[in-house]
Amino acid sequence: MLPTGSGKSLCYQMPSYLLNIQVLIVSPLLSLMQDQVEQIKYRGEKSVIALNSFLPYKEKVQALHNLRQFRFIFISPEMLVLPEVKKALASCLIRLFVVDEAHCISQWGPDFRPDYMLLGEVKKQLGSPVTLALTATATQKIRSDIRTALKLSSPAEWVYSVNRPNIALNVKQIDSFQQKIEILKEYMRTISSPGIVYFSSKRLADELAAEMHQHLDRQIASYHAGLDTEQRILIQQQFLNDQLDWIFATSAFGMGVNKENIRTVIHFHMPSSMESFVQEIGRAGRDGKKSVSILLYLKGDEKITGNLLELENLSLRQINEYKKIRQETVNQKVVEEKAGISEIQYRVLNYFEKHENHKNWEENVFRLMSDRLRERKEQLTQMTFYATSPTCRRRLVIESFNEREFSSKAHCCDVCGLNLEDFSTEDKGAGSAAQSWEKRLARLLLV
Amino acid sequence: MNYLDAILLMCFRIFNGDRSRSAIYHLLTGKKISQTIQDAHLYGISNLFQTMPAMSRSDFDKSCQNIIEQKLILQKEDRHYILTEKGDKSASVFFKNHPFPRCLEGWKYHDRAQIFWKRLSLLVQTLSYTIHGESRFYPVQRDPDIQRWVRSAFQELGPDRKKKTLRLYDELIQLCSDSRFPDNPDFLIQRLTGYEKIGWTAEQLAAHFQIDSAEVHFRFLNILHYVMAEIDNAHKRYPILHSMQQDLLKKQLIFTSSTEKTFQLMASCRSIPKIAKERKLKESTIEDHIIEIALMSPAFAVEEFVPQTLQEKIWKAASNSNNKKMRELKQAVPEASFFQIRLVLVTRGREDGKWKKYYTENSVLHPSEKARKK
Repeated sequence: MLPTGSGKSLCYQMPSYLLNIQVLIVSPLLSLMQDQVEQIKYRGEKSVIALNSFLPYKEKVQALHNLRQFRFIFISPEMLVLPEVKKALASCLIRLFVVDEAHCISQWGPDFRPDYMLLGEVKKQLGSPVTLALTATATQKIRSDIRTALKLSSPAEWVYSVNRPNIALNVKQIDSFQQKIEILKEYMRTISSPGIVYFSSKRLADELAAEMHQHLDRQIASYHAGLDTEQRILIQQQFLNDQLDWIFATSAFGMGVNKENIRTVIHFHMPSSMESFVQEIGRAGRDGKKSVSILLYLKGDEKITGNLLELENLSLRQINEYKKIRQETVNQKVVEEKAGISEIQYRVLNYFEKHENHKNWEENVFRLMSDRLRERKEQLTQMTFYATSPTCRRRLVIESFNEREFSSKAHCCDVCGLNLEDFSTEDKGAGSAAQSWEKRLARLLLV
Repeated sequence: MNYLDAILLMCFRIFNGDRSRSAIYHLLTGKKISQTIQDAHLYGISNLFQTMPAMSRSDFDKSCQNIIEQKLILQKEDRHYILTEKGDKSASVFFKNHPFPRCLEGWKYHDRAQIFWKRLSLLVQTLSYTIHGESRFYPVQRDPDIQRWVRSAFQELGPDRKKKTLRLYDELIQLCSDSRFPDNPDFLIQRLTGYEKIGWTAEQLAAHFQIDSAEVHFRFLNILHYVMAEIDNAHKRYPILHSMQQDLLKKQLIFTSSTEKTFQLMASCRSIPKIAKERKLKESTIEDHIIEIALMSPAFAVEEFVPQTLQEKIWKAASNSNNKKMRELKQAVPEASFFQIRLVLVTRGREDGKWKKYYTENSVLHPSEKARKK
């Protein structure tokens, strides 16, 4: 467990060169995987492939045929269980098996990925190579889930502190939704950029980004999974290239973005757990310089997240319905529609269908789901406590990861007397840099 | 009313209640089924084929709902709509204030233009970094086919790179400065990425010009299709740009696999009943295949299936009635089969282009589109 930006990818890339071995990396998010591959290619390594649903059929067949030749093979967990992939992997000599973002293994994570829970089996089929599980944030419970799922009996563990002394922690208490927007507007002009503002709603991120971009003298763009690939690449590169001051994003943004100088991370909505929160603020200050996390907290914000959790939970009726419909059809879309369940809920039930052989299957699944809901509500309570308690916020962060000792710099948190003005800026931002098309073309192609 | 609403009004105007609104959705997203392809040609709006490939059904329905509520279209029968007088007026007024995408050639250019744009943007990025002495960058296009093409094109340039970059610059300047260029070149050039300057997204262009993003999309596509036509016609003036899509011209005709088999049989046999028997398919299926082949290949000889005189007769009947309903035509030319009527309509329809006709009518009213450009 290493904090963001401290060289997790070095941990599997360097051994590959030192020992000249083939490495298989399981990565949960498609966009993250693409970014990782791009970064490896950027430094000049060509022997790298990403096996995921983006890969055109023709390319996939070819890649599988030549799989032995790749130094780094990135793969999504869903792909890893396909027979043709298994067969191709059998022809390889995988000496290092890497599970990236390993906290996704835990079934208590917000985005349940059942295929991640089968990785232990996959590892065995690969001949049990040396296994490396990487994560930036995992509580003790999740770390134990990882050990179990990957069938690691007595692994060596390197657990670094989640504390990032250069990131000051600030919670801003807000009285109304309108005030939240006003304050965000003010911060866009006054607080150091570049920065990221996290929203839980794609629509709100879009709308506010458009509005503030137009009315403030700041370069603001939104980023979320709804954009097409070309636009996503452009936004990401504009941000890396300091053409943007602020990105308004959903949690889809940030994992694979190697940007050193992010000064500020603002949460417009409260994340659903301390892990997500620490992951997201960790994108600030990778250069080690003074940075700040600001959580905008409106009393009752946790209820919105709580309601969402309730909605995601499955009722006994839905579980029964699922069971019934599954006997009629295996078409996922039809089952989802008829039982009135979401894609994630389908994944969960499908997993339990394959792996839970209980006499009272429905009730047993319902009990497991209720446990999961309770667990996630506890995480939410912990997050709410962070926002509302008069205790040093840094202490709350590290204690939620069962750490005790921590160091902090002059700028600890608002409870310890942080002054947000220390993070203000006179800077005018990136500027629109609009120029005529003739000038633009000349700038691109003439020296 | 936004740009997408206006485009939809155009489609409803042209289909005039003959087709359900789904036909419009399939047309814009470019569904490759024979009904959609035939409609596109029959009604002279193949220009719009596949011009919004990424539009979701729910966005489409929302836009339809919007123009229904504004009483711009009226339900004729179940899910068939006609334009109201207000709708007709609104569309005309809208296109007086917004550029009409008169260069669109969706059916002809869509695939080619997409690939051309991807290659162009990646090649410009590659050359821009190279001439600035930087060989490493994050490519704006991740499609492996596009990357492979640009890599080999780049290598072919060899040590001449600098000179060729300058020539590409000249070609682009020449292209965009031409008096016939249909729109503000910003919509093309500002999207390009290069050394220390990442291109704008459609949303950013929309914000900059304070228009909606569908308008940016159509204006960009309109420019791109203009460019395709221009480098087709004047390839000597644009050797580099032309070479970037030359291989796509030679691409073999791509049919659905069943049509492909019929196509092969047609090399030796022109009899529909014989082909049907050989393939163990219904004659009507073979006829569908032949219609598809006729649409895809410019060299298709209609007279092998419809004698010249009959063609003229069918076409005259079709031109007389505004309505292109099959049954009415069949009554007017009883000696022709339905297949023959369809074949004549789709092949003749190619040059018809109601879409353009609409534009010409409007441009007579307002010839000064250039003057309104930003």
